[in-house]
Amino acid sequence: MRITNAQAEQAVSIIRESLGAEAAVWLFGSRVNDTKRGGDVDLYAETSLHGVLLDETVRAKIALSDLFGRSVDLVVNNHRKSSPIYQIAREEGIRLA
Amino acid sequence: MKPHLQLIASRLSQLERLRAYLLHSTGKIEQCGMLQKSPAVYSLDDSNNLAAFRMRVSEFQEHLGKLLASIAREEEVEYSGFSDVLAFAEKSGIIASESVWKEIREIRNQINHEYEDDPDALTVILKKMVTCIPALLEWETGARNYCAAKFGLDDSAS
Repeated sequence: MRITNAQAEQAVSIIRESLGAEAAVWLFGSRVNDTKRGGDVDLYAETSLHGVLLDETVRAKIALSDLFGRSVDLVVNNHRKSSPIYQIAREEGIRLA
Repeated sequence: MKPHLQLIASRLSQLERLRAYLLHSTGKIEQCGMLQKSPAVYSLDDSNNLAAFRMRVSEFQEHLGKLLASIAREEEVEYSGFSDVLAFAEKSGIIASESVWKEIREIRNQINHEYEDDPDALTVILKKMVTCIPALLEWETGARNYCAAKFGLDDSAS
């Protein structure tokens, strides 16, 4: 994967701070591919917190963008709805926590 | 007038138009009762009003950001990224908070991403976006006042 272990740990910490201590986190997209270069950081999180989680997601994304110094996509699944991207992230991603 | 000040003046002029568009779009959202109704019952006009509002918020903040960068450059602020521009703008009193700026930008992004097919989320985000408008307008006024005081630029200069 093309983020450092330290970045991965910090990303998990940021996400869990906003989305709950039990949140599961995956890195997916181009950053899991060692042969590619650059690109946004795509993260997927599953949480048991209820509701729309707008403030929580916004807070986490700002902190993650500051961490990586670039645009970060954070997909949050709290089981309110289904989306193909959830399955893709789980199947093709690397679980960080 | 120096070319760079001309650029700032043109940005101010453009923002004045965009401000009018943003106020109009925000008014439409409120007048049509879109903050109270579910997206599931939006009419085509409602959907158009929402699309216009999203675009107007985005273009206003993007152009305001360009103006802030131009001001920072004119003030010979050393910056390597837009965060440095925002830090300068906050320190100068043009914007109230760098973190609130980023929050508004992120709320815009949220409405453009996974929530389009999510009526519950759309309602929450739309309400939140409307609450962000006064801050954006206030910061534009702050930038305009700064340019008038520091560079002698006012509406007549544009």
